[in-house]
Amino acid sequence: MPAIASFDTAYLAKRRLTSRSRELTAPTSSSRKVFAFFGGLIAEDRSTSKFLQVEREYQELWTSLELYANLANNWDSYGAEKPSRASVEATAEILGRLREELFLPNRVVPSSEGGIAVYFNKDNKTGYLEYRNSGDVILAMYDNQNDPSIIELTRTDADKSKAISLIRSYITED
Amino acid sequence: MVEVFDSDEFFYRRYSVAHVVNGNVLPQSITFPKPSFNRSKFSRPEDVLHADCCDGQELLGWGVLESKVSDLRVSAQSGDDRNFTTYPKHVPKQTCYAHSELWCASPPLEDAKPSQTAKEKLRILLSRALKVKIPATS
Repeated sequence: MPAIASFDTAYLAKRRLTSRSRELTAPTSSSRKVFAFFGGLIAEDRSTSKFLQVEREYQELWTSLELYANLANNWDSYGAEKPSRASVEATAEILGRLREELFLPNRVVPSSEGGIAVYFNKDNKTGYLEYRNSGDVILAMYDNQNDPSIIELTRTDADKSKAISLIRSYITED
Repeated sequence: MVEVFDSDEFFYRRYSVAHVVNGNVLPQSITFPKPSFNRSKFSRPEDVLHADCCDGQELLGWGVLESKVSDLRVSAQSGDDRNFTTYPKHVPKQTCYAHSELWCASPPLEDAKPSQTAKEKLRILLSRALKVKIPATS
């Protein structure tokens, strides 16, 4: 990766989910078998829990966002601007909303246009919401054949809800 | 400067690992105006990663995308019905003779600035045309 610029990510760190699942402590009494039984049930629930799966994915997306928040100018080697603080914060906000709705993107990616995009893909359908340094917000939905659908949005809460609704409908419909 | 592009000529562009997902090139790897490429008439795919073509930068782990130049001639319409079409232009640099760009025309302009909507469509159409030639590793 190109040189990393100094960037204050404290505000991101504050927002980061810090709760960790507690490790189970082995008992010292004869209840070991009971403990093993319930421990197995808990482990099974952890592996199949939609909530915990979303939390793991959310953590990974946050890690990506923190990385991209620290990119330097010309990070793509073709002269791209580093993501602005405003575009990083906007992405952080939409990630929070998506987490609440249990509908996370596949990736968070820096944009060569200057900014950050959240990227959704299922089968041959793709949707993304790109927050530009310029303040523009672009929603795009497309597949491998048809003319892409492009919608220009604002950073208001209403447009965040609209974007999530449109992408969800597009990505999940048959 | 060699303005004619052969029908089987390719364009190459470098990319970092974040910009390809499941083999699909993301539009976020492309910027307007005039995204840069190396043309195959004067370079090999790996040359696009050479420091001479990267303003002296060493880009370890980066990969290379490719497309036939003819597939990068794409068009998109803006909301006010103007049509924008990309076309290749050889723009040699002092240390990278193969350097070329995709310009955007909207008659009668040969160097037009596409609207926001048209630009985004062009980015998507270009990303569809690009394929991984040399995979990025980091």
